[in-house]
Amino acid sequence: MTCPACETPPASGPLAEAAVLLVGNPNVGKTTLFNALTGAHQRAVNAPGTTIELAVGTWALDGAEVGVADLPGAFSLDARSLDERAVAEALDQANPAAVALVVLDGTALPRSLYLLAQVIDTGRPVVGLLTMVDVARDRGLALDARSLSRAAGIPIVSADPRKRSGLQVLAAPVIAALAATRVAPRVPRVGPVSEVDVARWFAWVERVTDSLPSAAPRRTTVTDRVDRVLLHPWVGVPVFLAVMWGLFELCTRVAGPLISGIASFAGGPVADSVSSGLGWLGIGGGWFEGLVIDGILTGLGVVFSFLPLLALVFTALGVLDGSGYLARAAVVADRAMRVIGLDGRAVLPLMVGFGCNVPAIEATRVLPRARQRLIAGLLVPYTSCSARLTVYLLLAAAFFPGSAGTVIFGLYLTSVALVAIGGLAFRKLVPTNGEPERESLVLVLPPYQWPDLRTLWHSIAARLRGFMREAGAVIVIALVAMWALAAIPVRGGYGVAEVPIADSAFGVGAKAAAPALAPLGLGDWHIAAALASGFVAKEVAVGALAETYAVDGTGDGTALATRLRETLAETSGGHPRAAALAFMVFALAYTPCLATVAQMKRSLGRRWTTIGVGVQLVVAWVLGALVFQIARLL
Amino acid sequence: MHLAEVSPGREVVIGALHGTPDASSRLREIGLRPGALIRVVQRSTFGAIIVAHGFSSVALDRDTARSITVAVP
Repeated sequence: MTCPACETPPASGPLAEAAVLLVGNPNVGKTTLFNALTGAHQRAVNAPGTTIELAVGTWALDGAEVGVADLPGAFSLDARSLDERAVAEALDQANPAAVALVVLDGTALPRSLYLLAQVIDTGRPVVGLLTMVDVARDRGLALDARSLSRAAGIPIVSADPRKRSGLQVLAAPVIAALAATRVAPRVPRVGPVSEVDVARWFAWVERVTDSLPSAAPRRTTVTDRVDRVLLHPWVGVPVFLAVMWGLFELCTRVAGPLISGIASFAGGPVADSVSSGLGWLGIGGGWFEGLVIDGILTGLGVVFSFLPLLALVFTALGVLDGSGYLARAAVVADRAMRVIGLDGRAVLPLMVGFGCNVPAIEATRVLPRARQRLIAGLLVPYTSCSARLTVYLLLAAAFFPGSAGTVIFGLYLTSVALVAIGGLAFRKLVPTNGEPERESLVLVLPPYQWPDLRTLWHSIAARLRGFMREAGAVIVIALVAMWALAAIPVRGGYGVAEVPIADSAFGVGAKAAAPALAPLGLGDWHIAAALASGFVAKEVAVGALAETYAVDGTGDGTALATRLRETLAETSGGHPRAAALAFMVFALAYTPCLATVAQMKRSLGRRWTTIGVGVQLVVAWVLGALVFQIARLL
Repeated sequence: MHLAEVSPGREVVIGALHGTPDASSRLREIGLRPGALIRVVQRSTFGAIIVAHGFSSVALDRDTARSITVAVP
């Protein structure tokens, strides 16, 4: 029987090429299998029309290149999350000839079989891969793929995805399945599922499992013993806090020198050699050199400076996830994060955010649901990253010399409060799209294991490539645009790239924008220019102040502090400290940097990035105005 | 009796799921169905509990555990 529904054109986009779709419960080793099959020939793409990440790659199968897609982990095709819906839609809409390769966990067979029952009903040719057979055997359950295959009525082979040598057993059944034709689905795949179907699937699972040897009584495992400590009512929380502290240190203390090292390498030796190279070619000096060095090269320097930090954070998160600790973190932090409507695991990206927002946005991928990832991604920019500290330090030292520490601590508390309030607000703002709004904690805890480093490396490499390709372009283009604004003369008859900042398009724009900052006590073009530059990066804002005042921003910054005090005394009508507070609060709440925006666009999509950036500006302005108006009365 | 009242180490059989339809479906899908034999392994932070079912461990928050009635086998 052929399938009339299959006459519909196959899905365009990333899934069109996929001939094999990997399906399975979360944490069954699907991604390990994907890496074993495709090796380095893979990339991360978004499922059509969503920001749900899929990995696609090619598998050298019997001399042919076969497209493979790694679909998100799912318990059911009766989708209760956007990720599960993406799996259901992929099975429904991908290339009609594509085979579903379902990974079955030998230690949790009923759960795997329930999903398998639904996948079989999609009408696609199905091949099963039984894994964890050795673990099940160690625990007293002898499974064999042949009897399982007979009972389930589909070809099933067994292999360990971590040992790629054994995976040849997949070749014959997959090749045979590729030659088969899809039959009509028994159940409409996307949409609500009837209780009759659910009962039929459960009955099928019971029939299949009844034909297999029954499991020995459960013994206490190493995982149980470790969990006695890590999930202990009292010990669990301090361990979790220690892990979070380690993550924070990694993003600040370890990554900080790496970032500034690369940035100064790009701005120093690399810029010098490019400059002399341009001179040698006879096109040095003038605006072209400015464009290359200050625009393009600075942009590339920014892109590359994030790579070690991203790699470090992805490695740390990959180890936490692959080892099984991430699921425990979700349990321990569940209660605290539930207050703002987020999964316990959301603590991780938010913690990373206090180091740097850029990897933090990407780290929201640890959350299992699309809506949660979106809300966490919108909240990350309110975590006060270490770059914002440079702004706080300058202003706190200039305006609150005796109590700078208290002021900065207050800003961090404000940041935490903004995340909490933002969480409550975004819960209302972000549509549920059919996902339950408030979710109870029902979490399968994977056994602890050593993270598979090869899988980890491939996924980190794919993500870094994704960042360079997508975020990199945005960053370089925006920095070239910033350079152009500062290079184009508007007044005074200067040449291109020879104009003082005050007479450039940038300076004139800042003068026009300055009155908008008057309610914050900051109605001055130097400040407007600094905040506009701060959109690129917060540390650039300090540099921009030094540039617009034409003072040396290095050293102890005394000259700059003096000029700032003079300016704010004037703009605030005699309340410079209130204006300085407003400046710091504004710097805390508005768009952290261009790289964060680029990363938001990658993870949240264009629409939510625009909304997120807009909300940040409004929050920053309103909060800044409130702080100024209240503080000047005190 | 509901699951939150069971002390660690005890084995019980699930009677009924009284949570929302979504929550109940999720519980059934991961194997916590009426009739399933489970063991409470330990209590965890803020009233969460860990139960063993087959070879796997499942974490449930207190409200979910309260929504599951159980009986001694």
